[in-house]
Amino acid sequence: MSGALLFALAGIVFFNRYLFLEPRLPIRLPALVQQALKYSAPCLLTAICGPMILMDHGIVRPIRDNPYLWGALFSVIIAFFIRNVLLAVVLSLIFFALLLSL
Amino acid sequence: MFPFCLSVLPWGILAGSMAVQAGLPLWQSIGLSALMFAGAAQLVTLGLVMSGANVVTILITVFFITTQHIIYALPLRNYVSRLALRYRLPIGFLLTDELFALSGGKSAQQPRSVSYLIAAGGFFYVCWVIFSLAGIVMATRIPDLARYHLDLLIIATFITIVVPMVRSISSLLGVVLSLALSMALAYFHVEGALVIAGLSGMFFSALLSRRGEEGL
Repeated sequence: MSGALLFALAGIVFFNRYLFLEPRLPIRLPALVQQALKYSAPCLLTAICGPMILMDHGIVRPIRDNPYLWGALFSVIIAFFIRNVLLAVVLSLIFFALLLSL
Repeated sequence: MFPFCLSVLPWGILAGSMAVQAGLPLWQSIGLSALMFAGAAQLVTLGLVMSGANVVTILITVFFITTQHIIYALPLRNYVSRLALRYRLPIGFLLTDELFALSGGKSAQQPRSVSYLIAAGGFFYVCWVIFSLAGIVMATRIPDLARYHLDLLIIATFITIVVPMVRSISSLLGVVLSLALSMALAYFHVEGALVIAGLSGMFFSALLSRRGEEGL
């Protein structure tokens, strides 16, 4: 990753945080957009995971023999019952490791 | 303030160590935490860099993943937008989930003072950078087993973030739509699959929750 990209990303994050603190900004967000923004984190994070689970460098993984799929399902169950983030991630990784070693 | 600070400890360690595992040079690993100061966005960046996404996809995704900060500024707008630029800029930079929660959120009748916002935000910032550094140091000392399966770490982490966020039928259906669309579009090698799938889920959830409110 380039240094320029890092600075651009930092700029984007700052822009989003500062936007509505700027008094000269007259815009009001439409209610639907405001509501949609509340769902940005879960939907985008899921959209990042989807292709990683399904494909490997552009090729679809075999369904039954896909440790990523079963590992992801296990992660969902773990995350549902264990709300401690670090513990949930570690347990998921152990399960992933077991699947890969089979 | 301290409990909030401690709650980001695992995230800071994760962000720092993941940056090292992703192969970033030291200054960039530190720079991500020191300049972006946004845990989820940092992990997203690393995940996308690792999976070889192009620069435009990375920029657009990080933009949308941090749009929820626009919402955080709304309740503070009345108060903060009247302040001088030298106060607005640091408050903008420091406006994280934690500061938003501390500032009282939507129910705040009496906004916190400028000095409180900047001191609390600055405290979180220092904690975040220190925790990230701890993660960086740990990752450089521990044998880099995770490097080979960093994608697994990313999937496990994101799922752990997403599951507690799904608290209603509308958010569940939005997430399911994003998942299905992201897979289908990636299967057909559609450019910008990620952003299209994410935005579709967001607006689907928003429309559903509106309908739900109208129905009540």
